[in-house]
Amino acid sequence: MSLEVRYPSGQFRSELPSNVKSNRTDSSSGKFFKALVKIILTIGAIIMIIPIIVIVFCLGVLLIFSLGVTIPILKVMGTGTIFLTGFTIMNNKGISKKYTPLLVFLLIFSALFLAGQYDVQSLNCPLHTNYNQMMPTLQFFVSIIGFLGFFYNGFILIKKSRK
Amino acid sequence: MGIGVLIYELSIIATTIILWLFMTKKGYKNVTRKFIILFVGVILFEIISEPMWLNTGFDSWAYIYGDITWVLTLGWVNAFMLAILGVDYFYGELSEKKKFFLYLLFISALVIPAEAFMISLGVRGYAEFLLETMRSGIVIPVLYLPLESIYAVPIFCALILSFYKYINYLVDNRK
Repeated sequence: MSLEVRYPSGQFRSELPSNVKSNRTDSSSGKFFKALVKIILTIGAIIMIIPIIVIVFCLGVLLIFSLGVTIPILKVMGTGTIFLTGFTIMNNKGISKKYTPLLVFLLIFSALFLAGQYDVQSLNCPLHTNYNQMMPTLQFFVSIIGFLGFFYNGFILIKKSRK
Repeated sequence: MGIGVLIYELSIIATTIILWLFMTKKGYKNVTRKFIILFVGVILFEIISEPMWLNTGFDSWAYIYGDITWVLTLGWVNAFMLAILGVDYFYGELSEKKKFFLYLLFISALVIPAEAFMISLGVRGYAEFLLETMRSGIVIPVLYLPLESIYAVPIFCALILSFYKYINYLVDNRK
C-alpha cells in the first residue's frame, strides 16, 4: 500500500497532537517506555515471521502442485482486477493516488468474496479452509455492502474532486 | 469462570475509557471519531470472519450478533490504539509505510498473548472446520497456541489498520 506518497490534496495527519513532540526520551520514564516499545516490537517481529514463512511456503506449494485447481480462481481474480482498474481509469482520468488504498480494499474484498465461490478445502495446505462454510448469507451480504460502500465512497469523492 | 470473565470484560471497558481520557486530556484531536472508526473497522472484519472463531462464556449483555461481543471488539480497538499511539510517539518521524509495519508488529505482540489468555480463560475457541486445518500439531512455546492460529493475525490487522488510516484520511481531507 503506497501510503508513503505525498498526496496532492492532503496527507496523512500524525496521530500526535501538535503540542506533543515525538520521541521524547529525555526522562527516565520516556526511556523506559521506549525500551518497552522496542521489546514489544521485537516480540511482534518474532511472531510475524511465522505466518510470513508459512504463507510463502503455502503459496509455493499451491503454485507448484495445484496450478490446475487454482487457475480458475486466479482467472476470475485477474479478470476482476483488470475490470476494476479499467473501470477506475476510464471514469477518472486524473485519479488521485489517495484512492490507491481504496483499490487495495476492493481487491481484498473481491478476493474474500471470490474465495467464497470455490471449495478449496481439498487442497492439502493449512491456509485453506472451506470458505463456503465461512461465508453464510449474512457475511456474504456484509461483504457486498462493504464492497459497494468503498466503491461508492471512492467514486463519488473522485467525481467531486474533479469538479 | 463467571467472575474471571466479568473482570476481564470490565478491564477491557476500563482500558478503553482510560485510553479515551488519556488521549482527550493530552490534546489528541477527534478522539471519539478515531475510536468509532476503529470500532467499525474491527466489527466489520469480525462479522466477516465470525464463523471461524467461537466467543463463548461472555455475559449475555456483551453479545451483539451470534457470538460477536462488543467487549472483545473494544479489546481489539484498545490493542490497535495502543499500537498507533506507541509507534507514533516513538517513531513519529518515520514514513507512514514504515510505521504501518511497526503497527502490525506491535499489534501482533499484544494480540497473540491475549488470544492465548482468552483460550485459557475458556472464552475463545476455533470452529470445527478451522480446527481440521490445524493439523501440524506445532504449538507456540509458552503460549500453547496452535501455530496455525496466527496466520490470520497479520492479514486482518493489516485490513483493519488500512481501514482506520484510510477513512481517517478521507475525513481529515474532506472539503
